[in-house]
This record gives sequence, structure tokens and C-alpha cells, in this order.
Amino acid sequence: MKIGLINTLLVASTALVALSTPTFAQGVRENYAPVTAEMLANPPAEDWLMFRGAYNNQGYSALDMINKDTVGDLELAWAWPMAEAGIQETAPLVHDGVMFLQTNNNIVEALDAKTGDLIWQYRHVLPEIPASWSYQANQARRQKNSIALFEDKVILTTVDAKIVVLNAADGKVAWEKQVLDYNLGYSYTVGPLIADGKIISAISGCSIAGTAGGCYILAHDVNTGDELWRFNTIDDPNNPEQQESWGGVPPENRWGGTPWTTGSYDPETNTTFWGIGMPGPYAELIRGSGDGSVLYTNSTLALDVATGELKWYYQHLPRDNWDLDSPFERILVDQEIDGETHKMLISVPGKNGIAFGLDRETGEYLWSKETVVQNVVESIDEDGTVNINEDLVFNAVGEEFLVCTSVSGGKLWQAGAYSPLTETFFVPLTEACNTVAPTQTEFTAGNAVGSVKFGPRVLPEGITDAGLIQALDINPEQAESKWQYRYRPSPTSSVLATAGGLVFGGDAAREIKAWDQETGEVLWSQRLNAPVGGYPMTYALDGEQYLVIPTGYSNSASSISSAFPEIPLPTGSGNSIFVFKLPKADS
Amino acid sequence: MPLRSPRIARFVVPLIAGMMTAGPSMAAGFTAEQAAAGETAYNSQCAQCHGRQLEGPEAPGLAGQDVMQNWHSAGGLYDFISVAMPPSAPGQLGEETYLNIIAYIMEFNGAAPGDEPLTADPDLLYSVLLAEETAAGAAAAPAASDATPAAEATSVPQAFTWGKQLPGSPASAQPAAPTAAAEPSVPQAFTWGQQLPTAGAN
Repeated sequence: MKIGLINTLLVASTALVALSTPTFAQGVRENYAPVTAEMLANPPAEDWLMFRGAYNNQGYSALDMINKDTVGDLELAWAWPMAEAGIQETAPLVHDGVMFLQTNNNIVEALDAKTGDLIWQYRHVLPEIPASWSYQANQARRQKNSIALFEDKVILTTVDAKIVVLNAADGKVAWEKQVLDYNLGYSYTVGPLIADGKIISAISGCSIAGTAGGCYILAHDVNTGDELWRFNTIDDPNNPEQQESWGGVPPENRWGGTPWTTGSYDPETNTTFWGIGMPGPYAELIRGSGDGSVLYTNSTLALDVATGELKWYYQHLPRDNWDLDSPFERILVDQEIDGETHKMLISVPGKNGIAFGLDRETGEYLWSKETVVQNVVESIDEDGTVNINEDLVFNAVGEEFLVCTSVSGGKLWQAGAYSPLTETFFVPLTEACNTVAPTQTEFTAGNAVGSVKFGPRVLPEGITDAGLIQALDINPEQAESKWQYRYRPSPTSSVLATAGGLVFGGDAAREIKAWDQETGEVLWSQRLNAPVGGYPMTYALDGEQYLVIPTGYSNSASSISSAFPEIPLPTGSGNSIFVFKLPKADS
Repeated sequence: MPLRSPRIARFVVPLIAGMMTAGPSMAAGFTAEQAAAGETAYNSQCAQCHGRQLEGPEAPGLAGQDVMQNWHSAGGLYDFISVAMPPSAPGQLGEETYLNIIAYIMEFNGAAPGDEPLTADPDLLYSVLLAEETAAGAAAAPAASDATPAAEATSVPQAFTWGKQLPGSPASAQPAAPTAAAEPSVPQAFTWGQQLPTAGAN
């Protein structure tokens, strides 16, 4: 792709105007090329236009300049400190030579992707909330993933439950819309998906007391912001089975069902796929739901993008008692076998680390595969019915069980990647258990309704390595282990697979590694300033491939750092991005 | 990594009897000296993430009655922080410092110091019930009292079981929960206020 020269014009004269808005734009990117609907459907390999690179959430790049032969030559092109501390889970995007970087508290920076120079910065002005709303305040500091690009706009969802649309050229606010009431606890922590002329977003904060009864996936018109539909993940009036699954608990006493990860999208069927989190309170003893499965918690939902209607659902963990969410990335995979196209949805959807394959047209269960040590799922029937370990269901307040995986995973937000090159799914995982005991808690504004006491995260008996990169050979019949890479520290970043035959991922020990997709051999590694975090990605500019590695403070590092005390974590946040590239061939 | 405590190595771990049969709670279970030393240690080791006012936000807040209820006892808090905190040196501050920090967290949440020190004796730790010890002060805790008028007006739902006696709910001394259930300011659990079974109770 030919990239024109970026002209960053300093426009000091607009400073006074900017003072009257939340915008803090210093520069302008002239002649920014709009991101078309066609580009979103078929992203150019040079760009990284959305959360996981494409609608299929594969986290795969077709670029291959950095490959098994060249990866050892990578050198630092530039680095940049993020604008804010806090837990770092950023997913940088690149289009037309501009990198868009979102950080905590909804700060967005546009950087020249070649030089690392700042073009503009947007700082969202957040409302002040009472100090006692500590869970809600903490949520603002653990912003998950991404923003979205469409036409000449940057679209973000904010901690105070707004959709904000910026001009990509200068970072100024084009329009914004208050979607839900942050005073109740609603808060966006995951980025939107732009599809079919709509902004598809999912609200978080649904385990905060004031949000009882409603947790939503929503669609807004991408141009006007008008709400087109919303789907409530814990109260579906069209499905009696869903209502009954809460065992008599009325909607006003239901919490959870948070879609914690940006969904995937199949343009052929105009369907979006989202993962849903745990129910609240966490334990059915406190929740009052008896042995009900508490739909649609811990499920995959397939929604018609035109109408918001549910096409199908599949529940990966019914009757959750341990805060073992199943909201993580849903990946769409097509495989041609003997002339037949198999359209799958694959995922390690939940903290318990079990991998699933579903038929994405019907929601039919295809296969499952255990990865890390877990004791909450006893068996999965051939028809896909998941049977929990009822020995771990609490019968009394204060009763305590050791539950594997831990509330921190197993699997957590760090996304896996699927490589069509090797038909392999690479998943970052942590071996961990914790004790869980229900408590009776009076809920307070701005705080969560879990009502559970967790013990510290500990390694499962007999295991000494916290970290596991699991490579799964995928087909419509099964997932088999291709290789495993076990190591002391926990993996703390998402992984990136590329057409160069590599998979990149980082850990609590501040190291980014490149593995051979086929063998699991480490072909390159580099120690950085802080635990590797967020979503590594890659792009190309003027014939050179760049590799972006975010670093920074991470719950995934801190929650089980006691398992690798020989690798002390830094106490500084260190939130940064490091951009690598190959030396120029002619130099 | 060897588990620090054999308690958490077992798959099914009923809480020790001391937790259920809390003795008279006249004494707060810690001394003023412990809380003072704990304040220094907290501000040095914890405040960077958990905040000088225990408000977070880089890590979960440690102030408020719901936080005290969730950790349940000083033992619950000790079991966690003495293994996992601080993340840069997990479990490495030493028993005395962890106990002091717990004393400070309790004092900050409204508990009054007494003559008897907090020790690492599990029976003692599990008998110090955080919600009870801090109940008087929690209502007037700094974190709660600086709520804006909007916050005070916010009523949130409670659990379906809120106000109900569930297994495990103390039968003799009703917890703060049912008392407060009469006028819940925020939504509560469906089971709130119910008498629930108590682990280890006969």
C-alpha cells in the first residue's frame, strides 16, 4: 500500500476552541483515507482495522516479511509511553499510516505509525464518582481492548457508558451519545464492532448493584447514533426457558451476563457472535436460583444484526458458582474439507480453559477439549450438555472449596489466535486454583454483588509452571494438542499469529516470544520494561512490516505472581508500546 | 510452588469451627500500635495501587462494609494477602507486617483497637469478624461519608436472598444484613436476609 507523507500541522490557534470541549487535539492528519465497509469486510493485509484484525476475531495477519527466517533480526523502530497508568489491555489499530492507541480512562492517541510522532490526543472527561464506588472506579482503570474505525471516524465506547465518535483526522468530537446510566454502574470496557451500518456494542458493569435486571448488547446507527435494538443477556421475554433457568429469581435480583469481549461477525449471514460472562451473585446459594442454569450467562449468543433477535445460544458453563466467566473471544473459522465448507465457531470461552468447537450456523456442539487443570466441569455429553461438578456447589454460607481454575483463569481476557496457515488455535493459559466461599453481603452503590470470598491464586497440586501456551490442531471433528509450551511466569498478553509461520505472545516476566507455529520452538525473544500486555499486532508501511508489542501493568501478572517469586514484577505501571521491524535490506 | 497452608491444598475445606462460633467480639482483636505500624507499612507497600484512602482505583478498594463482609474474617484477609500481596514481593513482607496491615485496614474501616494483639493463630484470626468489628465505624467511614448527594440518593437492588435466613447465616446473632434489609438503599441479593446454612454448623 502506498502511503503518502503525513503532514502534521500544529494548529495552536484552535487551542481556545478546544478548551470548551473534552477534545485535546494538537494536530491534523491531512487526506486521511476513509475506512470503507468493503475494507472492514476484507481488511488489507497492511492495516489492522479492528480489535483482532478482522471480523472473524482470528488475530491473524497475512503479512510474512517477518517470518521464521527473519524474526531473529528484529530491531526496535520506536517506542511510546501510554498516556495513562492502570491495567493495560490495549488493542492498537493502524490505517493509512496512522496508529490509533486507546488507553485507560478513554484516552485515544493518533500516532504516525512510521515515526511514532504524536498527531493528536483525545482525553475523555469522566464524571466524578463517589470514592466509595471503588469497584466502579477500578473498572475505569481496566479498560479492555479496542476502539473502532469507520469512514473518517474513530468510534469509542467509554467508562461513563457513552459512544463517542471522533474525527480521525484531528481527534475532535463529531458526536457522542449517552447510552446507559453510569450512576447505576453501567460502564463500557470493551470496544465496539462496526457492521451493517451499525455500531454493535456491549455494556459492562453488570455485576454492580445498581444495574440489576439488565445487561445489554446494543446496536446504534453508525451515522446518527439512534438506538436500533438491544438484547438483554439476563432477561429474555421471548424465551420462557431462559426465565425459568433463574429458578424464581425475578429480573430485579439478577446480575451479571456481561459480554466482556468484542464479538465477531459473519457478513454472509449478518450474524454477530458474543460471549457472555458469569451470573451474580456468584454462588447459587446467595443468588437464590437453585440448580437453574441461569441463562444466558456463560453462553455464546448468535444475534441477527438486522433485528437483534437471538438465532441460537449455547451454554458453556451452566449453574456457575465460582465466577468462572465464559465471555472471551469467539473466533470464526472456515475449513474446506473434501469440497465441503465447514463454518465453525471456536473458542476457549471461559476461565476454566475448556476449548469448544460449534457449528456457527446452528450452534450445534462439535467438540470440546480440556487444557489446564480444572475441576468444575465433570463431563460434556455428546449433544454438548455440560455437566458441572456438583460436589463444588455450596450448601452453606462460609463453606469453602478449592476450585480450579481460579477466578483469574485459566483463560482470561488475553485472546488466542487462529492461524489458517497451519489450522492451529494458539491459546495463552494459566494453571491456577483458588478457594471460594460464599458470603452474605449487603450491596452498596458502585460496588459488585459477587458475595464470595476468594483465596489467593495457587498452582494446582503437582504443577510448577504457571504459564501454558497451548497449540490446538483444529478440525470440525475435534481439537488435538499440537504442542504445549510450559513456563514459570503467566502469559499476560494476547497472541498474534502471522503468515510468517509465527505466533507472538508475552508474559509476566516482561518477555515477548515468537514461537514456530508448527513446533512450538522459540525463535525470538526480547525482554521489555513491564509485563507484556494487550494485543500484539502487526502492519506494513512503505514495504516494511512492523510488529507492535504493548507492555504494562497487568492483573494477569499480579494475580499469581506468588507462583514465580524468582521473577519480581516491577512496581511501576510501565504502560508503553514497543514497535519492532526488520533492518532495511539495502542498509 | 509449595502451598503455604495445607488448608488450601485440600479440595473440600470446611471452615474451621472458630469462624462459625465467633466468641464474644468485645475486643477488636488488634492493638493501636499494630494499626499505627500497619499504616506505615500499608502506605509504603499497598497504597500505590489500593490508594491512601483505601479507595483503589489501580487495585480493588479496601474500604466499605461490603468489602469487610466479603473477606468475612481477619483470617480470610490474612490467607489472601500473606500469599499474594504485594504482587512485586508476594508473601514476602513477613507475618508481623501482614498482621499490622490487617489491623490498619480494620481501623480504617471503623474498628476500635483493644488490648489484645492480632496474632497468626488461625483460631484467633478466623474469630475476628470484619463486618462486626467495623460495623460501627463503617457507617461513618471516610470512603462512605464523602459520597455525593447523588450517591446517597442512589438506591440499588439487593440479592434475591437478601433478608432471608440462609444456611450458614448466624442464627443466634443476626448479621448486619437482615437488619439493614428493612431499608435497603441499594438492590440486594434474592437471598438477602434469609437464614442460610452455615458451614460446620450442626
